[in-house]
Amino acid sequence: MKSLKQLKSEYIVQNLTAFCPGCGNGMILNCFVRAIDELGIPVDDVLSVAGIGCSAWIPSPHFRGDTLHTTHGRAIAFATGAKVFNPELKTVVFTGDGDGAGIGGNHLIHAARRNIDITCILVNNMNYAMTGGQLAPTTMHNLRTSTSPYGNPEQPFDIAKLVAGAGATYVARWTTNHVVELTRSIKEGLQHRGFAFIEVMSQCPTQQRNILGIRATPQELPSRLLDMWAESTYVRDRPERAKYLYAVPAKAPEEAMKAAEQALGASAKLSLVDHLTLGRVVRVEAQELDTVKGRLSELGAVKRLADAREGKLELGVFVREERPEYTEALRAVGRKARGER
Amino acid sequence: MPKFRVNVDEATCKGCGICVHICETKGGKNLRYGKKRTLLGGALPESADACTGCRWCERYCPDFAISVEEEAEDA
Amino acid sequence: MLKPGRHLVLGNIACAEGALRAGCRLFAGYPITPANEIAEYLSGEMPRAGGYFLQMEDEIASIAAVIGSSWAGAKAMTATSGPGFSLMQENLSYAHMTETPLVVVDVQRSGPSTGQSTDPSQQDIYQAKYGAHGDYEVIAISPWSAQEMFDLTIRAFNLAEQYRTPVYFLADGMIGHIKEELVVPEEVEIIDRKTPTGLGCTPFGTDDPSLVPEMPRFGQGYRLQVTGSSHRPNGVRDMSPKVHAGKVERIMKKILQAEPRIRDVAKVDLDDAEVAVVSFGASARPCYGAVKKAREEGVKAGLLRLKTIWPFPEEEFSSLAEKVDAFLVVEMNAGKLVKEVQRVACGRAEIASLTRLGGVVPTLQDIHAEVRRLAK
Repeated sequence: MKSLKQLKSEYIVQNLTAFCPGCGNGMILNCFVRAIDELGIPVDDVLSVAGIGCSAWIPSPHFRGDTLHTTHGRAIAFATGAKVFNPELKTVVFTGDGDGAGIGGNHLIHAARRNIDITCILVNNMNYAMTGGQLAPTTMHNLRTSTSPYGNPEQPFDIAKLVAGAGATYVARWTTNHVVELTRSIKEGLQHRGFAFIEVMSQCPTQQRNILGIRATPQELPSRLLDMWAESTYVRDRPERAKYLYAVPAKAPEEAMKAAEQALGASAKLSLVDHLTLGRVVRVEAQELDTVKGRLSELGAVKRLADAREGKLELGVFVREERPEYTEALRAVGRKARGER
Repeated sequence: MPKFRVNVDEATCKGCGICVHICETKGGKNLRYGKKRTLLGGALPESADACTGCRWCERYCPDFAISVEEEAEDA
Repeated sequence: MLKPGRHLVLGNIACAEGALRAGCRLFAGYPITPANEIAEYLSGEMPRAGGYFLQMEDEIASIAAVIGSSWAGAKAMTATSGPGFSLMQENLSYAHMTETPLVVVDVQRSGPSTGQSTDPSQQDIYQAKYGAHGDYEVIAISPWSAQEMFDLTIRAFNLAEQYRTPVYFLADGMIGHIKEELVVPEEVEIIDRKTPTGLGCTPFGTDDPSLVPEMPRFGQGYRLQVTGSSHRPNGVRDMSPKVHAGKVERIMKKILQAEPRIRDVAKVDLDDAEVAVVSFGASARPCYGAVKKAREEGVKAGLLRLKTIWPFPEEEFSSLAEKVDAFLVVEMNAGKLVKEVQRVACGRAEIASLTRLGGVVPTLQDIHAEVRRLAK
């Protein structure tokens, strides 16, 4: 395996990245570089197109290939023109949840419908991060953001589902904590003939510390958010490694933890974890879950119990199929128009 | 047994702590914080010279700031 | 593509033919009256010529695809009308900032908003110049016949390539839908963008006195950084005041300093004129008749017809303002070109304005009556 230093010298043209400390975007850039390298795609064949937002800075100014940094929400449309005219370009779009599914939603669904041979990596940090943490089409209901001080009145998209419904032929969702699976999906997307869509749940320490209310030091926060992503998701068709449930605290999480420790002793493995939809909760791993449930329900410090899958996002490759591809169909139109076979 | 050396670029490391956390949870429990700071003022991870070469830190680093080099065998 | 010779052609079709002849090989557009014939014709002819026809999901995507394809090496265009032109403005600002050659055909109709969707106007001349945010200069062309829909579309592409800029082709619903003779020539002059020859290139800066940088395309190994952010000559983002001012000043100067070569006007009976009728596009047609009729009656009238609206041919007006007693500016809007004439003439001549709203072309009789009144 190439060292990161070597990958940087081959693929990265800006020494210090533009990202905040611990930002998921740098990790996605890391995975993207590995995917390109492992597939042996010449960097001169890669066209990266991005819109506006933090995720748009993944390729531009960092990546060594051709980069086209466009207007907010419109990267896919720019990419469509370039790819149609020069289908040799390995065309990748980097976008965010606001850029891609907010203002850019229309172009996203039409690219999926056309099944144009573009790989689209959408970084979902559930807010408009670059502009200060405003609510986005992916922000969960009731959360406080800079434009929802009384709680978000809206409901979020399931973007992967939306894009699959629009006709994309490769659809996957991972998180920044799933670097191996993400790198593999990017490779699969790059090799896939058609619209390949990869949604990446990502940490934004700068905004999520407020929106999700997770407070920690600068050197702890990014890891807590990464762990939150692992805790708050499950991979389709992957069996759970242990039997567990969550105890949602009535008041302070530490109180619930202490009470649980006293009640369960050595019969369960306990840890305080961050869960995207449940908040800071006690994770309880045990062989005999029914006994554990009974004891925990009696505790005043525990509001309620939640099962292992409650409020979690599903990850995996959801769609993998073949359908006529747009630029190929345009070329067929050309042959027909010119009377060629 | 090959030896591995970990190098953290203090000019580009942002002290985000992800490598330290990953090393502890997935890797060789080699990285930790000492007293040194990065040029940007963050906590600079240090190697306890027990790197197993798993390269999980390299896979997770958002800043291309950490590098694991296999050292040449001694003659 | 039409063969050389004489043809009877709809204005919009003549425009599409001109584009094909100029080497346009990508059209991306969205249905809108009264421009649809251009898209429909090109949906058949563009693939036959080895190019691509894209119907995009909206006008914003259309102009984005045009810009993206231009950077992949295409001569690319779109065709729309007022409402679609409004939607395109943000991305046109991007095209100006990135010096992307392209042609936007605006077959103007009467607004604001949905307005009179099937009736012509000349209301968009300021939108062509000031529609997008930021500071930039534009080239805008105005045809008055099917022949000019062909000839001047070729010129539009040549200017776009030569000056690395969007060019606005301001047709209108009347000229778009007129059917008249088109003479397709054997040979036409085609200008192509300057492309880099060496191993490296500077896509956004130059020492050439033309101030037009060479234009590379994706996939040649130049590792281009194309961005709408303020940038250095090599494309790298730079927000400093000096870099920003330098970039904006250069892209404006490259058009303005070339104005004498870009300028395209038609002069009829102006040498000894006392009343100069000023017009463009559809409204210039009855102006021609009105001037001729006035001349028959001994009135010293003349016509200055603008075939380039922008950059505004200030010199023509400065010199005319010294000679004529009055200008009569005839246009199908609430009075826009007249403001430019007022600005440049600076009170040296009387300025009268004949405007028409309601989607109607001014009549020869009305223009003639105004000319007579001004001639005294």
